[in-house]
Amino acid sequence: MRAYIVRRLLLSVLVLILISVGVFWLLRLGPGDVAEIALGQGASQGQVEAMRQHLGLNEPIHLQYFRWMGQILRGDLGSSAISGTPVASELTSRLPVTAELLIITLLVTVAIGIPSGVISALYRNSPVDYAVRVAATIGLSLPVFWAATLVIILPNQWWGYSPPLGRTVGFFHDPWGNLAQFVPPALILGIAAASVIMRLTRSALLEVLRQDYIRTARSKGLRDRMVIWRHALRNSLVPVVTVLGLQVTALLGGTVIIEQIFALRGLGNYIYQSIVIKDFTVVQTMALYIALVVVLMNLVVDVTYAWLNPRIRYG
Amino acid sequence: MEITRPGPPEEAQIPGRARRRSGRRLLLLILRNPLGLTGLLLVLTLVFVGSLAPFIAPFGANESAGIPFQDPSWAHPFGTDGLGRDIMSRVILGARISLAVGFLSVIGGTLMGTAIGMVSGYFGGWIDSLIQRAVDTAMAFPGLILLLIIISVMGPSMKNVIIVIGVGIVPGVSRVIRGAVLSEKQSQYVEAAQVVGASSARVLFRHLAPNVAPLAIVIATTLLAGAILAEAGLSFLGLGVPPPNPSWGADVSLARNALPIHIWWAFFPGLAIALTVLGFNFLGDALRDILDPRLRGTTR
Repeated sequence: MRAYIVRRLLLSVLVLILISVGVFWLLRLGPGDVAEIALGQGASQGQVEAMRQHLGLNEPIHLQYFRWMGQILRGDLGSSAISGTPVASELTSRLPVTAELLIITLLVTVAIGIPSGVISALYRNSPVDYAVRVAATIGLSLPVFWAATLVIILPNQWWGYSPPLGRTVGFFHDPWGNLAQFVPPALILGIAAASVIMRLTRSALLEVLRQDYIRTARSKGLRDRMVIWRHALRNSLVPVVTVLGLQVTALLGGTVIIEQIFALRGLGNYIYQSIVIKDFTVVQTMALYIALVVVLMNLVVDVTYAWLNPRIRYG
Repeated sequence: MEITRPGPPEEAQIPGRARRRSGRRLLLLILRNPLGLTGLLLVLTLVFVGSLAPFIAPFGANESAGIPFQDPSWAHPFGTDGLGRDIMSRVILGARISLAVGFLSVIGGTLMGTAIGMVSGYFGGWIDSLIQRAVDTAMAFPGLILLLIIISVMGPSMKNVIIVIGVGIVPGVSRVIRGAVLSEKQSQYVEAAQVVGASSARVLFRHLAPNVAPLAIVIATTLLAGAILAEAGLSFLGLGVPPPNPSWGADVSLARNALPIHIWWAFFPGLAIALTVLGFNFLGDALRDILDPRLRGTTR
């Protein structure tokens, strides 16, 4: 087990290094550098050159990379080359917004996905099963940005109401106002994730229900409910939990769109704005940060999985 | 952690006429599956509308067709947008963009992913490790954010959107194909070819490729929905197919920011995306149910 964890840790570090190199190099492929973009078109050649000198853009690219990495490892996340705001301060003010959005989204995903998957599997090939599966496919097919746009403009048109946009209120300061702000985007983001979880729960449960030990449990004379709760569901939920962890990666991408539409000042909105204005110093640091979150998430999922299922521990 | 993947479908080994017969059987199975049939009809409608778009659309994509912000009427069944353009015409012409981006990116990405996955699985060793670590890296990052970063560097255009979405598909495809090749490699026909002295290239292209091709086709079908959604999402964020092209995603974004609010402008292009993606999802699911022997019997 320890060897497995060490191997996974080393692999995670390698992945992070590759991502940081990849993004750093990628951002420098396009036309124009940070100095030109930061100063705008009106800047003179001298000003641009001075800024390049200041930011160290004239150095070879690998030296720039090592300088950036050195800063990051010392805990200095740098500042925006355009606005001058430190990345760390933006991060602390925006992280709670995205974290709350993701937590509510995951709650929605589990609350809808797992029960509907179980129902679908237990009433296999019945009209209920068909209805749930069609609903899940529709959930997977809805463009998030369209659903969100309609959720904002339809109530406005019909009742003159629109979900509160913009400045977020703290949960402990005004719980009702806070939830009114976070629940609509979380519901929309959760629909697609719930559809994935529903399908997986259904197929995992069906797979487990065909196993010999289920037949044994039944032949012992256990009641159906007992067989499903004690024997089938527990085992079928192992892969579901794994995928739920991996869904966070997809949901992080989804926050870019949803935070934009609901004007939530979270991390998704931050990285999108930085990409649009080509604030590369922020983009590269945020990309690394997001990769770190995802890699840690995967690590936790894999280790939990190995702990739950000894067959995985080869390494 | 290895994820066990189902091997290639049974149809793989059937050559010549028998394979044609199995193609007809496949079609029959899709037609018998109500959801598969619905998907097929939606996709066929879309392909029909997309290929004949210039003849079907009553107005040009950027032609001023009447007063802006009209509700649906006989003259404009979907209404007009904020610039007085006919929304229905833009939705019809937009089908071509979605289809072109979807098909071209998925075909390109699947071909590349299949090639990489085959090389990785067949040769093993350090080549495999190298490729798989690169795949790990690509998969440890939210796809949409990566697409946004690449597009912002390359600049938004239809060609770049196709390239970027296609490249985004490669890691996932290569991983599944690698798994299939790993199990195929143990087959006697591969051993036989190696024993008689066939070169690696010959084993890969003549023997393995036809046997992983059906799997690649199934993967491609299931990826189309995602590719079309990705194009719509990128265009919505202003980093996809640039205006004034009639991209569905970009039109929803225009409608969202317009004043006064005009529901129909946002509603119809979005509905077109949803129905298109739904069609491909239904069709992809039906194909997977039929071709994946492991799932056989669980869904029907």
